[in-house]
Amino acid sequence: MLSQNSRLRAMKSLLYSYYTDFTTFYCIYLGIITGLCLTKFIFSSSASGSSALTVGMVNCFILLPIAMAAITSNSELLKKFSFPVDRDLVALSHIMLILLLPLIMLLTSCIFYLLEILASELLMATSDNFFYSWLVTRGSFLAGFAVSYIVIVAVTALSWMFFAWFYRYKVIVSVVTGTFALALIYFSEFREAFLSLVGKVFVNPSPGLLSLKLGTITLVLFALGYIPIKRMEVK
Amino acid sequence: MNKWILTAMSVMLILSFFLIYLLSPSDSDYLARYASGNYETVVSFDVPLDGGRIVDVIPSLFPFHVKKVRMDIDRIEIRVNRNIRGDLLDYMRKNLKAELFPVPETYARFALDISFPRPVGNYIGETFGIVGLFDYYNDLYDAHAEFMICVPMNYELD
Repeated sequence: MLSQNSRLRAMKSLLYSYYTDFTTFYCIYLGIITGLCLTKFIFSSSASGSSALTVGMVNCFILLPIAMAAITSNSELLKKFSFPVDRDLVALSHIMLILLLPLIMLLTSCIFYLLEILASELLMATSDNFFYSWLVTRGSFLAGFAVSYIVIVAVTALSWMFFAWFYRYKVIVSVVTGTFALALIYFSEFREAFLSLVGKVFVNPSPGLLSLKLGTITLVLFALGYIPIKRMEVK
Repeated sequence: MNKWILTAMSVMLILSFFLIYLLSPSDSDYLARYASGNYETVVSFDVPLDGGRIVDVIPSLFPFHVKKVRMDIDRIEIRVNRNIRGDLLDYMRKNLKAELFPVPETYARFALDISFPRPVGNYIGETFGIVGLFDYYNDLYDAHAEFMICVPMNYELD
């Protein structure tokens, strides 16, 4: 019981430490999405282009793998180990981050979408040659949010797994990745086989089926990423 | 202090999600907005109705979306959707400039030249781009258009 309490406290403090680390990261995300939304209204006479929802989603795809590269590095991981934090707790906190961060970031894009609509209303009130259309439907919003979330989680889990192996086994992972990339470029049969495998996941699915497939892939990626963290040496 | 900011932010994040959900129309309401009955004619041209003819629309109506349809009418018409925020219909009634030029002698081909006398702004609040993976949502968004160019049945649109 005592040990369980102590692990729970350790988990809380570990998550708090990641929360403080990710405040800066979140501010960068806010900065990028604010900049992109503002430039759309200020510099483009048409204010056309992707809405904040898509902008936020694309930002997640770019920023979260970078964040995973940072948190799985040896120096960052070793900073987190202080009794009673162990490898299991660190891996669990990473998985919680992978599940929580996309949710927070996508919800943030929802706020920005509402701000864009507000800006459009203001522009419409002040000028007679500005118009806007609300193209989001309930079904497309829910499906878009759910699928974006699960795809971002899967991509983040993939990058987490990759960097968890990379920082522990640099030479082997570089050789395997390099060979894989060269095979994709130079061997058309291998490329076609790989693309058809990817196609089996993404081509003509329903939102539910795609989420199920990606959810399974994410669980496998979590398991694969846990192995090098479990086996890493902590001094 | 930090705790209060965090709580307020969490509430805002969740509220924004539900606000978008509640303010959005259902798929059927959305489709009804872009049904043919919701477009009104702002410009029309009398044209010959015999033989096969072609209409080239120049230039594109950027930043607006256009549907080009053939229907049982005896004129070429430019229609505007009446559900666009900012009263696009009224604005286009007053400002849209359109001219129809027949290709000399044959009259088999027409050029429809549409222009706005001053720049117009149009914001399109789309959903997550990832729904483009699904055919159903692609079809849903293809229904959206601010303009509709209608020609008689014996005309082709380029």
